[in-house]
Amino acid sequence: MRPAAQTPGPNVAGATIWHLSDLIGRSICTESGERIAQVRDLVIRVRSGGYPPVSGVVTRSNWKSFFIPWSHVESLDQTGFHLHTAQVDLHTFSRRDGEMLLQKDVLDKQVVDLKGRRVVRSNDLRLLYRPSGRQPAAGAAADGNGDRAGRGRTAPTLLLIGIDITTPALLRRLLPSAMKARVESSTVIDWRDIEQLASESPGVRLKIDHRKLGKLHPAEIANIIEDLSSNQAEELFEHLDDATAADTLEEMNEELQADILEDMDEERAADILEEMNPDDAADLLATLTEEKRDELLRRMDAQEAEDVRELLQYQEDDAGGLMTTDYVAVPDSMTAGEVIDHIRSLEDVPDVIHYIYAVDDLETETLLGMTDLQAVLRANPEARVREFMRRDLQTVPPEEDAEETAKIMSEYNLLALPVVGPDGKLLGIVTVDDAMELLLPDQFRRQVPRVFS
Amino acid sequence: MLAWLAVLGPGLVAANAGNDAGGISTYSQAGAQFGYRLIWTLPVLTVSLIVVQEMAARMGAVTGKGLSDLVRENFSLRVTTFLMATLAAANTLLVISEFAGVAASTQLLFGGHVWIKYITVPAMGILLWVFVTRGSYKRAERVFLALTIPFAGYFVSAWLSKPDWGSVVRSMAPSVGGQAGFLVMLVALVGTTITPYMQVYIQSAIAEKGVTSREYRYERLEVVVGSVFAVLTAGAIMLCMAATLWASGRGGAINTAAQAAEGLKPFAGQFASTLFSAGLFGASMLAGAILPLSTAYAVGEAFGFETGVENRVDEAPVFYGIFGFLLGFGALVTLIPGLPLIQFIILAQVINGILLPIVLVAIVKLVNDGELMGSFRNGPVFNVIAIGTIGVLVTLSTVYLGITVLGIFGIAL
Repeated sequence: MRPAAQTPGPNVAGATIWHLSDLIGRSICTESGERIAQVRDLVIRVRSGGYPPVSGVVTRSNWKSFFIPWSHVESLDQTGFHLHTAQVDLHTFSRRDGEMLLQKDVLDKQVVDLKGRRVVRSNDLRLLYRPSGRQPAAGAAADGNGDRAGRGRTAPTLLLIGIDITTPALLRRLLPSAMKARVESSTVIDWRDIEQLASESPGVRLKIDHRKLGKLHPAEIANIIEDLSSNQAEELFEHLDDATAADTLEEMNEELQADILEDMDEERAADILEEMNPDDAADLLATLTEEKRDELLRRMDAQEAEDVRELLQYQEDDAGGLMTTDYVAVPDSMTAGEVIDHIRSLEDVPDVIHYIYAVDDLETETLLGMTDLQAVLRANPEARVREFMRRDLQTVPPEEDAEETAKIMSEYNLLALPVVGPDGKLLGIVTVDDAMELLLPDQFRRQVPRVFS
Repeated sequence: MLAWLAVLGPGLVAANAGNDAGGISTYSQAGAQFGYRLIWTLPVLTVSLIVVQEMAARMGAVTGKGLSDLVRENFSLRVTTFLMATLAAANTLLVISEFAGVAASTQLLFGGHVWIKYITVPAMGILLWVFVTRGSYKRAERVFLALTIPFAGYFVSAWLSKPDWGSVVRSMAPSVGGQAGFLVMLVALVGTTITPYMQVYIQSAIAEKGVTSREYRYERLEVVVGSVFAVLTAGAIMLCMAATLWASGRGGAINTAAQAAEGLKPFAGQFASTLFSAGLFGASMLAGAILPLSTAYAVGEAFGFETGVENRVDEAPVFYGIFGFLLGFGALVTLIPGLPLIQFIILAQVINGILLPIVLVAIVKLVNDGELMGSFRNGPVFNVIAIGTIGVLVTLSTVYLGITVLGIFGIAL
């Protein structure tokens, strides 16, 4: 093996890089050089952060698996694994929770590449071997392997540092050994940028918290989840917090949203729906069966459920179906100062406050005018809203065609357009992001010629 | 009912894609040469097809993964590579035969001009590319479902041919004896009805469609309906031939589906013949789309490339590359004058004969894996049926393989 070009951590003298496929099948020799077995698999313990060290070697004899703890290993080289004992007491191997087999559970399985934001298959694994050294390094003790070799020497370590997803990695495993050496692959994904999927190794219960994944943008999480199987998607969703789960759902297509929500525990589904924008929640609920929809609404917070129920009455392709009830309305008698306090005290603040709507009072909500944050900030704090609000408003009734609504918004350059009932009551607003989707040219939405639809 | 309509697709499409151009030729030969004598195999074939397709469908719904995904994850890389290479080779050869089917059927439908195929074959190749690449799985599936409609023409053709229903009923008592050619035909029927790409396709399609184990009971029903419809179509084709060419003693001359459509004309009329050709067209188009698509799914899944028609072309270049290559290659090769198409089909059958036993054994092994399937693994009774069916299928496909290989060396049974 070539010496490592760049290796993580201190004390890298003599470090070598290995491929898992190259380690499997190597001999295990005792102190005297006697070959006693062949490597069948390597064990690591699942933990977050850093590169996991190999904690033991699995070998087979007489149809049984045996385990040799890593602390028995003296060195690793081209001739195989060398133990520092003459005798080994082989323990029968049985998997414990949290223990992972590199060959069985990781090689050839799907993992999430957090940097590339995609699902990949591991074609080979890369490991870094650090032989025992004289200088005790600070990093070695932190690995938890202890100072087994004793007397100021650090123990040798074998760390899982990355996975190889390239086609050359496959070739290397398929070609006869004489030709293997010629196959090079340069791109390896760092193990710290990998998120494993516990559902990929159903034989063992792995506790993976998916904290790393939760840090990605919801749109990226949604993209990743779209590439996963339903079991894998379910697993990831379990670990996202409600707010991230809601944002992620909003980024997905309706069909997948419904699939995921139906598979979820109902209480949890209701929690996520509460976090979603009411219009998105309503659109999603509209695709479910009536029974399921009522059940989820029942479990939701009463106020949130009421908003969603209101939106559910409208057709998907009219302004009512497009609108959201997430808006800021204030009585026109409020002063600019009070408006700022009011916004500060709101429990549910809309993602973006496009405009502030002035109504007669918060009960009847008859729309009288509108203003925006900038105007409120610049107005005299004592000035009442009715003194500086705009009264010439564009509004649409809830039955207005959705596309027509979008056209009005683009014509008047509006960020949001109020939807008003026949009695002048403010029902909701259509926001520019939802309207935009309707105005984008067809090719952006990747549609087939509508011959069969 | 609504839930049932929502899952409608993979089962029906996969089973009908099995009735491809080569399949229609085989059913035509079986009816033309042996009349009603092979009708009894149809119920047996239906059960076998359901058993095999159901297991693949169940795995797709429970694991959310394609068959190649599971093979790669649970068998060695070498086995996976061998399977993928053989599947890709067999499917490539079969795509050529599907485009030959498009050529022959459009020639019959548009007045017999030989040159017409130089227009229709490239046009249909492009059309299939457009339908599959420009949208979502749902839209592509709608096209596939639409392509199964021409199959209904075979039922009308069969009815117009006025089959002897008494003979049909009497033929239900299985008879095997007679010439060796009869045995060869029986084995060929099985080989053409149950082909590896059907299992690969149904599992990938169900996984991509996102059918879950919760919705699986609807999917199972669809698999059954699809399989029954596919075998009934095969039966209709056999009846067409039995009632006309076989009854008049001229069945020996039928070797291809196009000859069958032509031969039908004097007996059942132009309309029946046209419907027969339209059926061949639909069948060739459907299999012409499904074969490249299932190859692209299989290879992509096995080697970790992005798959799925939900992706844009630049998001899944390998997937669309394989799909496009098979379409283009199949269409182009078909247009080369004087190519021995029959030889290609025989070669494809030989490869499938090697492939099917491996695929079926892999399916049974995977579907019995408790870690993978949980409570959805085979029950003891179903397992006996499944293993029995697969034992028979493996034996027959091995016999078929032997016969075909002997045939290549000029030894006919």
